[in-house]
Amino acid sequence: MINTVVEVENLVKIYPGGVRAVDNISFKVRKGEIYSLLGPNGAGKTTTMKIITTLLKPTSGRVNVGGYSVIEEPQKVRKIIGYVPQDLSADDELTGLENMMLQARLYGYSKSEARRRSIELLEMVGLKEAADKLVKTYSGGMRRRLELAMGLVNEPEVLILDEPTLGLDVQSRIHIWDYIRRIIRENSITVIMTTHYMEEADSLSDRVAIIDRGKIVVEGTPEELKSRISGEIILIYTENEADKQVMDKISTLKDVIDVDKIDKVIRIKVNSIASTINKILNLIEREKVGVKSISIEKPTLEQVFIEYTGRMFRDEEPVDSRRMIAIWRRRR
Amino acid sequence: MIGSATLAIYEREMRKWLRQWWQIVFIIITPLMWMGLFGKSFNFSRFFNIPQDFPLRDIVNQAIEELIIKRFFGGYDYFSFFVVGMMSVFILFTNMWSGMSLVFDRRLGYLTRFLVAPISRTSILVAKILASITRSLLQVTALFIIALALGLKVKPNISIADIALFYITLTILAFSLGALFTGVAVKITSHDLVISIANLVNLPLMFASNAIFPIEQMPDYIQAIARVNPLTYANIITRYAILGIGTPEDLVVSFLYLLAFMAVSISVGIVIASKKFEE
Ligand SMILES: Nc1ncnc2c1ncn2[C@@H]1O[C@H](COP(=O)(O)OP(=O)(O)OP(=O)(O)O)[C@@H](O)[C@H]1O
Ligand SMILES: [Mg+2]
Repeated sequence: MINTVVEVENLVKIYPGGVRAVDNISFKVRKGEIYSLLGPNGAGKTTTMKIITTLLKPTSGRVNVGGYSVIEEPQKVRKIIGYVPQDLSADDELTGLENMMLQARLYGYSKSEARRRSIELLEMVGLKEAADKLVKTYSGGMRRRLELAMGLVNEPEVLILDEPTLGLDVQSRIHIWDYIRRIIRENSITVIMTTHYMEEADSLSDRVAIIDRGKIVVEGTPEELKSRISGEIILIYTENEADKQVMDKISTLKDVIDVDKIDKVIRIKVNSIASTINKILNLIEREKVGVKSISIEKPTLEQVFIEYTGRMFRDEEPVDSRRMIAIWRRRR
Repeated sequence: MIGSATLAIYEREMRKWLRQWWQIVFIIITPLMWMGLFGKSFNFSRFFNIPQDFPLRDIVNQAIEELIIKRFFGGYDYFSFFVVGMMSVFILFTNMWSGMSLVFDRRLGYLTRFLVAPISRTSILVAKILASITRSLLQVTALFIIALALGLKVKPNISIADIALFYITLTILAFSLGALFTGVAVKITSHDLVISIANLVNLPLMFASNAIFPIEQMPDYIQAIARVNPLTYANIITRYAILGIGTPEDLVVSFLYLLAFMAVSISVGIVIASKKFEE
């Protein structure tokens, strides 16, 4: 039996003024998994999170968290969720420890329990030394870690992370991912997070829903999604330009979708690298093509997004320039 | 009953306030200037400047003192009359801003932390109101002590009960104003608007009351405002308690009025606030 912890059904949110921020989305999150909503700016991720956390009332649809309806029993939902909002929410004028303790006491911990729990969590996110410093003296990465700790103070069943690494450099991002992984391992928490970093969704999530303009366009494990992109790409850097005969032979191999050549690089699109790589290498050796190096281009969630929406991810680029970028990629 | 969440939020408010020492300096210095400038310069007996060589100078001076000053200001020098009246004004000035921290919490994202926690919305408001009351009572206490040093003359037979009455009255007033302005701040998300509203009501409420001058001498329309102005009734009680001006009947009527005002403002505050905390 799969245990559903969060259930979103036909959720619609229309803001006053008529913006249809969430347009009939449905998904289920199972116990203990990390579920990501991946989408560009304005896709409706934060709006969805705010409804799940009872901060916002849906226009229509049903949202249950831990079996409680966010509309009918918001207090029960609040007890079992931890929330790390997209906008920083710690109080600048208080220290990290004071922020944590206040947070703990809002959930009914006694003063001494609150202190114990706060120190424990601050230690976990590597802020023990900074615990008594005012939050306004924290760096961006420290603030994000504090937010994460604040979201965990009530030992939530469901942790809701809205862009937990927004604005951080790669280093700090990887740090935060490590913390998130550890938390989940140690506490068997269910996590729903949003992000617009592809790598983040890919490396952290069990399942991803790609959301665009208020709609879920596709959902699945990162591997599933990427495998829906037809083919993987093998690049072979040769010493001399390969001749037409070799190219033709490669193209007749089983599971090869397409071959082309840019100067001294052969670009082979295949259904599966595992089933073709040996055959290709054997063929190249037989044909005495000098190989300098080989690289493999794995499909990314970015390609999945492009495939399903017909648009580039970060900037709202139309389909035409997508082709331009594809060409530029090949020339690289 | 005050829940632990309320207490925790209250502690946060007070901690933040105490950490900003310059704010505390200002809430003393600004009222002090009011008391010094107004209270001392309006010392009305000096308005009647009788020439030194006027033959009946002493008699005239005494007559003015008896007939005008004592009758108007209940037997006290103007400074004492004014300073006690101003205490309710300071309560107004301070509690008027009680909603401001709510507006800023919303702005800075901190309110999210409260709203997503399993606590009642009321506990957030109550904590903010209580913090605001505490701040204003501390302020009034400090100013009262300073005023004593500057020449405030309390009634000779003043008792602990009188002091208690003084504080109870100001607490009721502070609570009413806090509830009203905090309730309004739930709805208002722009701090500019809060500032505008505060500036709109502060001086009119001060002048259209008996804080600076007895209302009997005011034009009718100002009197009309003064007669519904809660500051007027608070001042009747505090002046009775501290200076011994007024009658016990006035006292009872004023106290009932303040209680009614408190009931109304809390209801209004709740009605406005309950019009959605959430978006
Ligand atoms: N309070 C609001 N009132 C009106 N429209 C809003 C409000 N909040 C968000 N929107 C609109 O709803 C849409 C979705 O916004 P939302 O914040 O959910 O997007 P998002 O996916 O979280 O984007 P981002 O990656 O930038 O955080 C946007 O078009 C936004 O302009
Ligand atoms: Mg967002």
